[in-house]
Amino acid sequence: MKTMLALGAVTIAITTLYASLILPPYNKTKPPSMPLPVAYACAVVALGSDTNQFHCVSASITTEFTPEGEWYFTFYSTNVNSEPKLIAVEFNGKVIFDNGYR
Amino acid sequence: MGYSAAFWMSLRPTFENQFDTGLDRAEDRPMNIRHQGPTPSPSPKPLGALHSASAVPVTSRRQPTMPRIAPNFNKMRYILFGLVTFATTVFASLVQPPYNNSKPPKMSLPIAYERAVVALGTDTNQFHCVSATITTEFSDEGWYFTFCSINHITMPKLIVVEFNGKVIIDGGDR
Repeated sequence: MKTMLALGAVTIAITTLYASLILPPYNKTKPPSMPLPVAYACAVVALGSDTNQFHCVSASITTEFTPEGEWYFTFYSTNVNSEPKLIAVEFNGKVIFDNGYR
Repeated sequence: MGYSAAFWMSLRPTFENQFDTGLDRAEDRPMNIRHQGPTPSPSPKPLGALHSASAVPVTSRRQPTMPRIAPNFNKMRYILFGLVTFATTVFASLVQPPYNNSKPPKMSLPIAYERAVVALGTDTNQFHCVSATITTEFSDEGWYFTFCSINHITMPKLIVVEFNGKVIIDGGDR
């Protein structure tokens, strides 16, 4: 009985922790405070010399990093074997390289 | 353990209808053939010994109805198969293969965005871009923009800017 209660408590704790990590989706009726071209420019600057090899194939607003939302860019390489680079540009201008840990 | 005669008589037609045994029935038997099997009697007997198939003349067996409908069924099957193949071919011809992401787009994202905003016209006051991806949904490859409205009820506007510069407002018909 005690084991069952402990298991239940652990399950609830894990579920709560997991739910706190996942932010609600972006409210698409709210215009982003940073327009797409400006965010793209920030992402390209962050990419640096890799812009010769990588090119953008998609951009969308997500809430992966902040509840306020950010522009999330996917850059693919001309080399098929290279992994794509995922760059998030928050509306305040902060740039984050998403290495897939989150 | 004894059963009443009424029980056995009620069981007999049900058994024959379900399994189409073709076993002897008084009306099926030719008059000149003497029935040698056990006569229906009210006395109880085991279920497996209800009728003796060996005692039944071949002429009295009823033919199963399946062979009569089989040719029609085969035709229908071929027609259905043809229709499914045709529908699959039409659907496959409409769906384009996905974009090869290792190929750099011929038009960069900011230029395509600019063209999409021009196509949006005065609606730029109400609509804002929330996503842009490369698509092959239309004949040529291009950037696919989603513009959402500040109004909850209004549907988003979907604009495609092909790499050759052509702008299409996607009405969702395709």
